[in-house]
Amino acid sequence: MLYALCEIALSDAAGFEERFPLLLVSAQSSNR
Amino acid sequence: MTTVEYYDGMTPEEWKPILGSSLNFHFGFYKQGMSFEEGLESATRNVISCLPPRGRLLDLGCDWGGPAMRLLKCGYDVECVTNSSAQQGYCSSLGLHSRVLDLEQDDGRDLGYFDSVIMLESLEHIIDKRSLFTKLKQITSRVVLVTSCDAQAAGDLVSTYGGTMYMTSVAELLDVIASAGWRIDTAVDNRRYAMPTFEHWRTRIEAAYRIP
Repeated sequence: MLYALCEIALSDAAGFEERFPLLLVSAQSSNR
Repeated sequence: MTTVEYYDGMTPEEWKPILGSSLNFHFGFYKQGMSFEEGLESATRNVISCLPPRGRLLDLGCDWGGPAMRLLKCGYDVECVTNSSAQQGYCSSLGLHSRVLDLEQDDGRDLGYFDSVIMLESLEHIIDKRSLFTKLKQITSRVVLVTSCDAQAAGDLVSTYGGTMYMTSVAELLDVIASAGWRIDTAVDNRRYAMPTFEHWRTRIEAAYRIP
């Protein structure tokens, strides 16, 4: 499954990069 | 296939040739010339840069404990949660406080309160993300996460991969987080820097399994 994902991603790296953003998100809440 | 079936299907020793000795099963952050391990370390540093310097930290979806061990060494009081008993057992063997829990089924309140919660590529496996962010407000005031989105997911629709990942668009994800009462401090797309991870994984899988 991981190997298949690598093959998909690397077969069209630019397209994969555009379609699947990898988001780093930091968020805070003041409510406890 | 569920995430539990996926992770419990191979032993830690079988994963190590692919993921490295630290079993860090995450995307790296690669600048030019970085090795496999350097990119993984760089990605962990990006997460640390969003955290307070110390404190009680929950790694929600801790995988095999790679980043958690790094955070422990940085001085954080780390608690790990996974829904895989195999991963929990391995994390425990490393000396990490860990437990098996599925936050989609449990409210997590008996975990106590944390200065920060991190979710490193685990949010994709949560179906009801809106409920999760509401629950998280009961146990922390700071969340740092890394997650894949799908630009082709529209509105409330999610796209799936492998039967274990449920992805929203970036806009939908940020709306889910904000509407649950969170203020978003940082939201940056690092996919470009993560792409070399696929090359490393493929090369390592081919070497481990002698794929020509």
